[in-house]
Amino acid sequence: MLYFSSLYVNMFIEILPIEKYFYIPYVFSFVIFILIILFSTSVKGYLFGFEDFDLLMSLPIKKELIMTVKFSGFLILQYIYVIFLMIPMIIIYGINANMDIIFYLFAFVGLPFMPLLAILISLLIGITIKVLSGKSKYENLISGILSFGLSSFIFFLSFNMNPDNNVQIIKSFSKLISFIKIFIPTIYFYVNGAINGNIIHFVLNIVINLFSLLLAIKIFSNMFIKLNNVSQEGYKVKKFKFNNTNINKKGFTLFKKEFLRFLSNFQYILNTSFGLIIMVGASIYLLINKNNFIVYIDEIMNFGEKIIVYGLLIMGQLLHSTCTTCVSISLEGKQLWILKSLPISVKEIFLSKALVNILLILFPSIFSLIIISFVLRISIVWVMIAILYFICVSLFVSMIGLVLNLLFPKLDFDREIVVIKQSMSSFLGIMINLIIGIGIVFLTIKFSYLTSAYTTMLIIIMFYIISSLIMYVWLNTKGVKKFNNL
Amino acid sequence: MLKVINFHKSYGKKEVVKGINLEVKPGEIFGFVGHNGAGKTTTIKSIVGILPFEEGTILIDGKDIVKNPVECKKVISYIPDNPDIYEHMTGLNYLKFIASIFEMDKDYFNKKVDELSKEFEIYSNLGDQIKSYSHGMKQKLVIISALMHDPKLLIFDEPFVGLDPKASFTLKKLMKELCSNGSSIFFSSHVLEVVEKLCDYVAIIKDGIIVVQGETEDILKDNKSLEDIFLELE
Repeated sequence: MLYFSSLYVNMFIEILPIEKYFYIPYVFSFVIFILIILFSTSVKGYLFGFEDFDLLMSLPIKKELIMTVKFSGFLILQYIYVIFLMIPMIIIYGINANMDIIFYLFAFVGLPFMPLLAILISLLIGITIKVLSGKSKYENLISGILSFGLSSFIFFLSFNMNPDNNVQIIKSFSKLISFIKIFIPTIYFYVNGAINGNIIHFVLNIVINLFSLLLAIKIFSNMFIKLNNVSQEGYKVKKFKFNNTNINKKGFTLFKKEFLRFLSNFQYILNTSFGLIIMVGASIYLLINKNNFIVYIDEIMNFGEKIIVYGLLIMGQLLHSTCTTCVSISLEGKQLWILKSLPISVKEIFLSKALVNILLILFPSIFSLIIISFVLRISIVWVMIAILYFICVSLFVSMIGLVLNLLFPKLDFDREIVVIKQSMSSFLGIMINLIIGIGIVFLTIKFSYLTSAYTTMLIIIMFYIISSLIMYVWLNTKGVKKFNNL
Repeated sequence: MLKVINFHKSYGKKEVVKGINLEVKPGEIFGFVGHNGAGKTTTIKSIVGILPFEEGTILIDGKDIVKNPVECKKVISYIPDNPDIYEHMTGLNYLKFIASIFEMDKDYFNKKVDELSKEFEIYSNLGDQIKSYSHGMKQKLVIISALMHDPKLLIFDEPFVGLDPKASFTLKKLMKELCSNGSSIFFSSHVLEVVEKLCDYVAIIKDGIIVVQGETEDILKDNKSLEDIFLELE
């Protein structure tokens, strides 16, 4: 995060004229604000519905202390973004814009207060999602749709603001500051207070945000017990009637169980499927706006088949971010005894988990491929190569996830979100997939002049096949032993 | 039906089960008794294939649990000491999940679920999400899932914990019925009166070693209760 923050600040410094550098703290503060609001989709998982609620409430500990601990954990997570994104920006911007000591003083003192209004809004949205989804049969679906709607809305806004040249960037930033002044004045007070040494704005940032924090604590304490109790309850049918029911095949049942497990947690879906959502969204956007792209299509295709390779690798990068298996064993948690005591082989368990990941990657990517190949008039040979490439990536991603989860299992947790977002296997799953995806793109760009497009793809596909085979052998030998030892 | 031969199990350097031998014959109810931490749950988890072990052999219906785990598990039903089950499923969906793994016949499944859920009085809750169940209801659901496919060997770890008196009575009755039909039961319990009345065979484990083992009648021949014998060993 530190690296990306520094990279982006330097990028802005290169693009903007020196007199416009002051846009940078506004943009970064705005990004923080949006990131924290997007975090509202996880409020339910972090603040409501932890397994030790009954135990904690029965202990001789003040309710306020329990709430403080839970709320502090929630705040710390938000401050990770704030610290890692804002501190490099403040330093790099300060040096390049020749800011004086007052800037650093106001910027660093005001920083802890700056995100509190966003945290209040995030909490309010999170509580609203929880209340609306309630304890209905479709709680996860409702919560998922609401969270996804919010994320899409924010991304739609940022997508529409996306400029394509420097003049437009400056115009967009100017519009953004006007927007901030009217709708998020605390950011304006914070940045303006620091840049211009405006003590009134500096104080206003602290006072308003502090008030937001107090309000957030008040709302949280009022809803804490009520919403946690709701989280403990499941839905109940009013009148149950047992009708003759069908029994599925064993393999399908295992797959269905894994797939429903995946769907049962929105954070799990969001954490692992964001790349796919972007891919499908972008391909549909391409189809809808086909006429606008026609001018560029011939230009793009003039680059030859290498451009198809790069396009596929970008899609492959998005597929690398869809790794459900890196936490799927951990998520069995205390229920692992069920799989281990039933007449199912460990290989069948691995297969059911991998299959969910493979199909989750293949259906959307092939759907996108069909649209893109239709719009860009890609030959059938390349479509077949692309499908083979997607299959290989999906096998690789699903297997590396299983390997990582077996090496770094986390079966003891009080909330699933801890496994999904904070476990070692989840972190490594994201990082290793990112490194491998980017590494392949980098190597391809650097060395593709040595070979034809077909040979390049063949080498890439061979890499995935060989590494998947190595992981397959490991899973069937050491992996089985590791699983049995869990 | 179940043979445990020279079974050892360690956690790290600490050996918790030190070479025990057990045998459960067809139609027999075997009670496994011991204080907390004596090695009961470890032994049971190893028998059902949840825990690997260092030394010894566990044979189920003549097959080795290490070499043929799937074949062994096909004839076993296991009830753990804590009914942690898939909370996002409904009770009925959980039973269907178990039934399909055991490849049960559809009509037989429907008949058994109807019968057993009524006997354990959770019929009307089968459509509810397991998350809404109490501990006892979850225990009843696990018991139904264990009994519905007529296993040859039932391995229960503290099966009566959390059950109401009627459900306890029903479970005891069903255990006897299953054994009269040729199934075997190996179970651990701290309720010594139940073990005394229900079991044909009893073993007491202490610090990983079996200190008393034999037919219930023989163990209790001096007009001593199982509780007396257990306390004498402490």
